[in-house]
Amino acid sequence: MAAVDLIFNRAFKTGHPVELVFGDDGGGGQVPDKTLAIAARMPGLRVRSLVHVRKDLVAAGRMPGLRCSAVVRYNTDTPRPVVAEVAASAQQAQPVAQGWVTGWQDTDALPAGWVSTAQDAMPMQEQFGVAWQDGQRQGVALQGRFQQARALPGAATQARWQESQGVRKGLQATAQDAAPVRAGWVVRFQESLRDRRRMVEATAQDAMGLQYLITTGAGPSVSLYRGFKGRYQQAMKPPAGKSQTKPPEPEKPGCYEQLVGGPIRLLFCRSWAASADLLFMCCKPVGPEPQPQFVIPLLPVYMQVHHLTAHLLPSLEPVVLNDVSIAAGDDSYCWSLSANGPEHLLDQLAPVGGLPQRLQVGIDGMQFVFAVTSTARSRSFDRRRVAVQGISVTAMLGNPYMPKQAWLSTSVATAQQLAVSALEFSGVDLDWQIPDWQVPAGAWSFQGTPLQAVLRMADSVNAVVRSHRTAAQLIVAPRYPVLPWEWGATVPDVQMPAAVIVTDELRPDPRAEYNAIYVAGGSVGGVLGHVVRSLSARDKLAPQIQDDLITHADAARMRGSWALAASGNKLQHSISMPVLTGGTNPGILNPGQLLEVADTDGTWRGLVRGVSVSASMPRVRQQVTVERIAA
Amino acid sequence: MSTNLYKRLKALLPDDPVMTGQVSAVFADGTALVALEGASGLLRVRNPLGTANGVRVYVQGGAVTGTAPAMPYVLIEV
Repeated sequence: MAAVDLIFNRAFKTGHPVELVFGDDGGGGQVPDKTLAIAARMPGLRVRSLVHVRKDLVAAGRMPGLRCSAVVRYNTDTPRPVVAEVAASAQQAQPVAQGWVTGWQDTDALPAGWVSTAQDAMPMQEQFGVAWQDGQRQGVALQGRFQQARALPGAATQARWQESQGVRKGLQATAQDAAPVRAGWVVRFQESLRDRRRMVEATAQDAMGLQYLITTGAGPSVSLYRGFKGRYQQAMKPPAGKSQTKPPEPEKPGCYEQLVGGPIRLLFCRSWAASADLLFMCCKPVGPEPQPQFVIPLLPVYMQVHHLTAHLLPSLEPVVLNDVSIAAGDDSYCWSLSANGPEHLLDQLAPVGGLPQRLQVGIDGMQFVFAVTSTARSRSFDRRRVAVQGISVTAMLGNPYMPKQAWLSTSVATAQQLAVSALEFSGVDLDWQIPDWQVPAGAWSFQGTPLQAVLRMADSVNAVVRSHRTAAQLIVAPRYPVLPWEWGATVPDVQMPAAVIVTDELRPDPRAEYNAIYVAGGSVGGVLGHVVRSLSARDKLAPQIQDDLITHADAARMRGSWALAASGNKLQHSISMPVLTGGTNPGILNPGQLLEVADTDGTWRGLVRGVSVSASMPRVRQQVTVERIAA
Repeated sequence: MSTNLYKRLKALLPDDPVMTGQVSAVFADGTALVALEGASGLLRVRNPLGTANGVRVYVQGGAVTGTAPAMPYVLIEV
């Protein structure tokens, strides 16, 4: 508060009482305003004027024939009653002037205040700086983990960096919030010219709001830290052992730690048994459960954008196809294609040099190569189209592209060697995925095309012949990669929820059940295999199977076990589902894959027997036929 | 049941599987009684080759088609 000057302007008075009058400044120097009205009568002219006099009077008139003399007397020493409002305003003017002075001090300190505001913002910067330092430290930890684990998904790394960018965004938002505060200061300055008292109050209120704003700005920064914590928990998603920042301790080779002179811990990890034998064993848990190769996660929405490509090989000339349908099954050795296209395909896909052209069809990046076997044109009113048929290029091994030959094994060879020799010089590879067995000389005698030879060889043990999707390769695969009574204990190839099933049809497939079978060989080196289900009564004997190529117990085991596996009541489940690619999604399923579906009425497993993909853009569906065991 | 229509049709048609067995009795009317492998049953089939009793034979289509070798027996549990 500014100093109050006491001015005594009365003459010195002796004696009592002495009256002290505050606020009376004696009126020195102040001249009240007065109004002087002059009325004159002039011939031919009337003038009425109002003149404001303030300390002195200036009147000018030019009138013809008028003389006017006015005397204005102003007694300066005359005591006049002081208007109470004036006095009150003077008294109130003191604190106003003080407020004004303090306001001016504030405005003088305004630049300093701005600076101080900036200083207030500095701790905010510091806090964010701390957050940045934390973020950098996390980045360093991430790098360290990356070097040590090397298998952290790249997506998680990017997500973390995106989070750190969000922190910067929050910092900018705080700065933007501070900008209207500055505008408020400017407004206060303009208002201060209009009304001082209101300005003072408004300034105080604005200042309160400023503090409050900063406080709220600090609030979200706390939640930012919380967000970092939450993200860290999401980073625990990678499989165990890969998210450790420090390398895992090497496994101790032994099952127990030998402490010299120390206690030896006895851990009883087996349930009580009647026998008194002492069994020392390693109680360490085995490794993590093997996961299926393909997993379709359970999501609220499955979104997939499909694209279909078709090119001629080897020129990669684009081919216009629509309504593409691709199918394969365990009863056919190849993938087959049927599609429609415009009329010019009749010329574009015509055979060259008597051999069918090769067509590469890609659905969502999954490529298939077909040999175009037929282009049928059909015309109707306003519509011409060509129906294209194609099968895998391995069909070039069969009729009518290859001649029939006679095959005879003149020395001891394995079945795989006999099949490879049938494919010699044909340019087609063989992928033999079943156990091999020995065939004595003379046991293999066949007449037919190379393709028929391989089919016959696989048919001797009832194996499945498939074709590679793109390469010229025949695949001899087991009829049951895993026998049905072992499905529950194996890891499925594809795991998916029932949510991806668009439509399905479950059809019972009743079959007689057997638990034993005789598989007989031929005259040359044949064996008689008695294949029985273990722990069964062996009383339900299946019809005997005779094949000349059953020359080894392995062949008899395959043929007999798959015959027993095919017996018993089955279910044929036909599922229509979208083609999902990317991530762990399987894309187009393959026949022979063991499928596990978490269905609405319980999880079941089944063997994919056939796949048919129909792609009529923009919709792509695959129809999967699954063989299940009837419960 | 197969997904292949042709194979589904083929499964409906009667087939003549080749079976092995041992002749257990020979009758004067040109037929013989054959005990199939593993005591899975007896079949009375034509015996145009005049196979003697106790001989292992191949049987197909209700007739003895030839003599079968004595193959080593393998028991396989699956």
